[in-house]
Amino acid sequence: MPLTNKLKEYRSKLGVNQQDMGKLVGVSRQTISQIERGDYSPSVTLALKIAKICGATVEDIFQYED
Amino acid sequence: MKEKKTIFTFIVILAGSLLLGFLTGVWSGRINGMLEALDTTRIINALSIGFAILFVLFHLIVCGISFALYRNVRKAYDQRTENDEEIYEQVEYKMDLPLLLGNLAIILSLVLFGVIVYLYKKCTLEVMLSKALLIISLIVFIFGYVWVIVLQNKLVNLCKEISPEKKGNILDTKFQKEWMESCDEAQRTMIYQSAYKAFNAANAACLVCWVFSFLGMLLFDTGILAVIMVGAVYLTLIMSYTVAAMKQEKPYTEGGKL
Repeated sequence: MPLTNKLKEYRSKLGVNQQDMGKLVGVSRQTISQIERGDYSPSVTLALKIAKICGATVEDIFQYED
Repeated sequence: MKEKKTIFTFIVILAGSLLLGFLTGVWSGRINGMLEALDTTRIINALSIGFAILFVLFHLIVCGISFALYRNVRKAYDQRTENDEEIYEQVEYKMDLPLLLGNLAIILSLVLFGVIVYLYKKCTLEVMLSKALLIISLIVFIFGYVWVIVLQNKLVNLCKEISPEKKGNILDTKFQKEWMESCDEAQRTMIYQSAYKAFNAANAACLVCWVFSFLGMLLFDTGILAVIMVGAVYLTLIMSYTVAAMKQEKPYTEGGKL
């Protein structure tokens, strides 16, 4: 997948586990895990929610490489 | 160039299928005659006993394996530590196998029970023996449903422990709807991708089933019902997919959909 992310890094800074991160952005722990592994690309809405919770921009957390 | 090769391959497959169909039609009359000359009574009597024993063993073995797998998964989840995030992925992955076995058991149970009832009607065993085999098979058939439902209930409850946002009770007729509504975007994407693979597999399976049911009608006088049922299933599959896709593709106008 061309989309990489630093979600795990930002999550560690926040000091929350995957379950709590999921609750904060309104998705399951499984989805957070899949995003961190690069197995799932979040929707625009979810990416914006994640960025807001992490106090960063979408581009800070998610990178697209050709 | 690639397109020409594709068309050529398609024509070869079409011509081969036509030839095979023609030869099957020509030979079906001869094969039918040969089968009528066979004494199938002893074979049917042996199969009546064999299938009943197979049915019992099948459920005992699959039930044992499925519950053992569930117990391993349950144990792994109960022994997790607070910071162990990988255990959740492992448990969710390992839960799929007993779930699959349970579903396979139900489907094979339906088939095997059908075969046993058919053989009961055709066999010439002693009345008491044939009735005993049928009653044992009926008890095993019911037992099959019971253990699969119990197992699925345990797996769903475990899944709800791991993911508390999940909703639904498998004994409820609205379970599928409630479960889907409680899934988030990634879980739904997973379901949709799996469903599309299932659709493609079912598409191919319907064609294969039609061939076998048609051959059965020609060679073994199985009647036209199987051919019609395959057609009904195939029609349901294609129509439900096409109608759902059309709803997704409805064009928008100002103020909402058409």
